[in-house]
Amino acid sequence: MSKNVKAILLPAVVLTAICIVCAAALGGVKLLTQDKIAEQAAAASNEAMAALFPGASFSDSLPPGTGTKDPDGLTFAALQDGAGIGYAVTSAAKGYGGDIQVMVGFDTALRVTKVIVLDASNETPGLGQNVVKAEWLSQFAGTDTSMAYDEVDAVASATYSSKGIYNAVIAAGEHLAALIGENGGGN
Amino acid sequence: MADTKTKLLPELTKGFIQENPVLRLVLGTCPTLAISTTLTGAVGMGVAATIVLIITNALISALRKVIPDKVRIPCYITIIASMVTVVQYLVKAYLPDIDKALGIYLPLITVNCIILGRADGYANRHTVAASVFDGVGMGIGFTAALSAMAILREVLGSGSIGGLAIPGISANPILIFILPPGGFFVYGLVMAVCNKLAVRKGKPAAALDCANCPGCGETGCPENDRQGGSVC
Repeated sequence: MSKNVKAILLPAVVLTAICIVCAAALGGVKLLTQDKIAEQAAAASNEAMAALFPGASFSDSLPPGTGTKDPDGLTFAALQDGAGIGYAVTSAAKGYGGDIQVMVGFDTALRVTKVIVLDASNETPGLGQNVVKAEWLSQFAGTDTSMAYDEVDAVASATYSSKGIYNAVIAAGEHLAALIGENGGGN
Repeated sequence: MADTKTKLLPELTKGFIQENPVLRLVLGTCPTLAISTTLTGAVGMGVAATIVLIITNALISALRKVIPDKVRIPCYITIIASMVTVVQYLVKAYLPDIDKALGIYLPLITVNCIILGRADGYANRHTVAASVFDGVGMGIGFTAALSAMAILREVLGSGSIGGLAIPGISANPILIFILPPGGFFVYGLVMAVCNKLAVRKGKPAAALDCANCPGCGETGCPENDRQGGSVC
């Protein structure tokens, strides 16, 4: 009888103990690293903004000086010597393996100046991930939301990834246009 | 000390060719095919999987007398999944570049059957030291196999190596090599070469560890009969 009880209870007790220890370890590591992880994400976003508008300073009031802000916190105005020179918008769209995150730079006429991919880690390495290359992304420079997908020179065999970038860029443009339009800023 | 060393060294080297996890044991095929499109990705994946493999092999070997046989698989999975997540958090926090390169493949190490295969096939029956050596050897074997495939696939399929374009072929690469069919093609070729090397060393294929046999658990397993039903 007692042998039976042991044979049934022991595995359950050991498994429970292992689960508790593992859960505690996970919680501990999460606590230790979460600040650092948030810091890394913020650093990556700041780095991308600086790459879009070298030497500019950034403000979250849109258009600059009005005090209106993007309710989603995705849009920043770039300022040089106090004058607005453009906007940086973070946006995401579905690629092949998940969301592709991009940051798009716009000039004051809301035309794309530059696209930077923040996260395309779920795209196929060596294939879909070729969309992060600067020379491929440079085709978006000068376009606006009227650009059709037919105009994109997609990466061969990576249609979903190419379309993901296109959709994210268009979404960023529309997001910005809606914001600026709302504020009556126009150009 | 010298005696333990001579015994441990084969545990390390057997993973290179003789029992190469990818090419001889045919474990971890899915991550192998998925990640071997670029050399940098292959090396990153290999190193990350090796680190996880060493940690889990050591932990499971240390707990081998505590974990009851009946619940060993859930125990292993819990330990492996937790360790992978811990490594993932640490990489995200301190090595963001590697995190970007590995992306979805880091969490996929959880279901990399090399890890579970070595836990159940080796670490639960050997000492901690031997298991660590086995983990290092298997990890090196995995990384080497992945890198060999990645070099072939990246050069032929992307016309580059480690992300650097090779003049002459980078303009017109053979795209199929970085697509799944090319992956299987290269996998078969590299496996054939590895088999050739392993046989040349004079060890028959039957020397592979019984516990890694995919037919384990089915009736009529000769190794199981030989050992009186203690294997499966």
